[in-house]
Amino acid sequence: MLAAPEGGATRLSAVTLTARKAGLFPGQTLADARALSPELAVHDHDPGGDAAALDALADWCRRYTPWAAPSGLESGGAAGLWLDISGCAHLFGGEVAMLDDLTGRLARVGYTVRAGLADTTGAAWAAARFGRPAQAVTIIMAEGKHPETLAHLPIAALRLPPETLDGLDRLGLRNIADLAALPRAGLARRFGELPARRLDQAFGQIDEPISPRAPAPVWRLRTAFPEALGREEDIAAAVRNLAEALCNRLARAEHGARRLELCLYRVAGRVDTIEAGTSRASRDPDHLMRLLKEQLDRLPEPPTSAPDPLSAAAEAMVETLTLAAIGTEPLHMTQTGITTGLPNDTERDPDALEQLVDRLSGRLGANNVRRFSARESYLPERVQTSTPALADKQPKTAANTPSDSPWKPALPRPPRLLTRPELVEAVAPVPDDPPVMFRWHGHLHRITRAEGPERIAPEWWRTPDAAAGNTILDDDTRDYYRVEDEDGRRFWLYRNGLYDRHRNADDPPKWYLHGFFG
Amino acid sequence: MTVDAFSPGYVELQVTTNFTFLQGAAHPEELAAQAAVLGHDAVAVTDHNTLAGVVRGHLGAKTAGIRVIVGTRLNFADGTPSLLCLPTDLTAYSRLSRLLTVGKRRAEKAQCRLSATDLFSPDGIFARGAGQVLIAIAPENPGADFPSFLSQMRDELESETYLAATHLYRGDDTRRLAQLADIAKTARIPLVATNDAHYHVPERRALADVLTCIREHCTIDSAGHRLTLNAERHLKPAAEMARLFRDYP
Repeated sequence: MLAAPEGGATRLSAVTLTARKAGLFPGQTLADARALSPELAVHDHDPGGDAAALDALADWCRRYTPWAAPSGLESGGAAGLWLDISGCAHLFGGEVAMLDDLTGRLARVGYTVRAGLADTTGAAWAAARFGRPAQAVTIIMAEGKHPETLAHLPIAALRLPPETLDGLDRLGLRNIADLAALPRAGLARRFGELPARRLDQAFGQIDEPISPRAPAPVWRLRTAFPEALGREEDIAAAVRNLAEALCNRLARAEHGARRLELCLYRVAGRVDTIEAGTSRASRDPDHLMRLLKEQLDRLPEPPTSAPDPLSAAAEAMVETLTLAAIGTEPLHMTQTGITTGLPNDTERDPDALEQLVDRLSGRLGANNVRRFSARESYLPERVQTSTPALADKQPKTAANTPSDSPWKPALPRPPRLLTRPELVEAVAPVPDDPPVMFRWHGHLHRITRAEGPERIAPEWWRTPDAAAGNTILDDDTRDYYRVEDEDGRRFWLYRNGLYDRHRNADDPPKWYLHGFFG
Repeated sequence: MTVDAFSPGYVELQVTTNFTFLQGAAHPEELAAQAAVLGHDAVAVTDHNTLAGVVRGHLGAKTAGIRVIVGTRLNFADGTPSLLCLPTDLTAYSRLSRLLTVGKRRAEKAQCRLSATDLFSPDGIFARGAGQVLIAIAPENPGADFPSFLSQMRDELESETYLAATHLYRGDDTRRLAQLADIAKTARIPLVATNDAHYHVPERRALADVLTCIREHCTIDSAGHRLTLNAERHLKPAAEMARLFRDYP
């Protein structure tokens, strides 16, 4: 029995079967309900938790069909689940057998199920909620005779909002036949187009697609076990079989997987999902298996409500497995070299590095294995960054011409850049001539040749805080000079700040050494 | 109209106002007022392929007590280097407006398509006849055909022709200016100093960068090299311009 505050009074939002028999109903105030049955057990209503549970259940139902979606409260009445089983039912021995399987499994984990099966979404909804009360399952197979079959059902079976139902009720319309008999134009004027549309949907005159919670992957394989699997080795072997089958299919289509999703459907109605990514499209079952195994081994102990370890273990048994390649890329056939596979050939295997990266990412976490990538910035210390190794190799930066390598600097940059620029004492004519000499580490360098300035303004949009890891000292406009001293050594110096625009006259801009040109 | 860097007078001839949408980051009035503060006795308004900014520029200059130089920056669709066109009399002005109308009718709304043919074709009326001052804007890296383009301008067009040089602060300005001076000398056209002003004070760079992001449909973090390197595209006092271009009087 659930209660939630509504309009100043705490009202019941859901009641159990027993409570309903005692005369309680949703919408009743809690005070009234307590008067009727003082021994009432009341819990707070948690809509977020309800939605999450419904989503989880929808995921679980993907064992039957990829087209599973929660039907929220927006359609009026209690929430539920949609399953589009077109083309799936025969896998379970027909529609009735599938429905039995579904309700049986859900009942075993403690759900009270009311299911409806029909050839239109509207009729199924109505069947599930307003079918014969004695039965948990109602099947409507009208095949074109919807108006007659549905005629006796109450109008509430049409998924209409409460206010519309109230209005129709006041007009004395009780069941679907009454409503269907009315002229459409008048109906639409009074109640909007929704009642008419719901009628058409229930009668199968207009289509109503279900949007699934997760898009159905193209590359998806499923295996169900007559007896649930408990031992890790058995599960791993089953996953391995799936991986091989998936790789065969990928090979036939010349595709390789970039992302894999393995779902373990447990007896307790819970789904564990494992995702693994590869840095390069792959269809090597050994490799994919290694990735999945890493995570399979580390799967946390499932939370359980079972009283003893034995039934907890039973709940954690796996009934069904699905393996899907949710991201794929074209991967063409490669000719296998005659020597590949020999032990001493592994270091020349072009896939070895990628496979290592994948394994490390799987073991250490995708965010902890990173690769360097180029970033467009004028500030020399900001031109490289690191991204997770499994991320797309080319992060979307500017729309450069393809020939423009992101690593190739547009302006001259020294081959060796100091991690932190070092303070030097320099003598230079104001305001922006190159220095004539500078002292670095106690050694005086007289400058014979110089070029500059290259003026680089700070990136004003970055807050100092966010940049703390990367930035050097306080940021000001920098004037960079390429200079050569009398011994022919070339340096890259900059002055932090401009003379004419400097904030503080007592604190002249400082000079820094930032790199060497060799 | 030519600018002698040693004389105390300097006039910015290459000015992009906010009438060049999403490029200029200052109102013509702001630019005129700043020019007056810096002691310039005139300011040009040369928006890209449009004359729309000159009215506000004129009013602003009047308030600030300086002259406005009416003009347009002609950007060509076929890779021809951009030109500053500064008509000096009414007929030249009407020929420029006619050219812009032709270009705009060729393209969709808010765009203007011009090509080298418009400039050089013998029956094109635009640059024929006196009164037009044309200033070629040197590209960042002048290509091999840039000198011949200048010679063609000088020989075929009856306008006064100049070459504009700008300090880009990319580190190689000394070398670049020397190269441009060389080109100008070979083509026998005078060099003028400009600063390609997009805003009146350096603090407006942030706004200019934001405009770039809007124009390019990107965020400031991903804009990268499409942003400007530094904040030098503002109006500068004559003395500073004189110092920057002291090697090229």
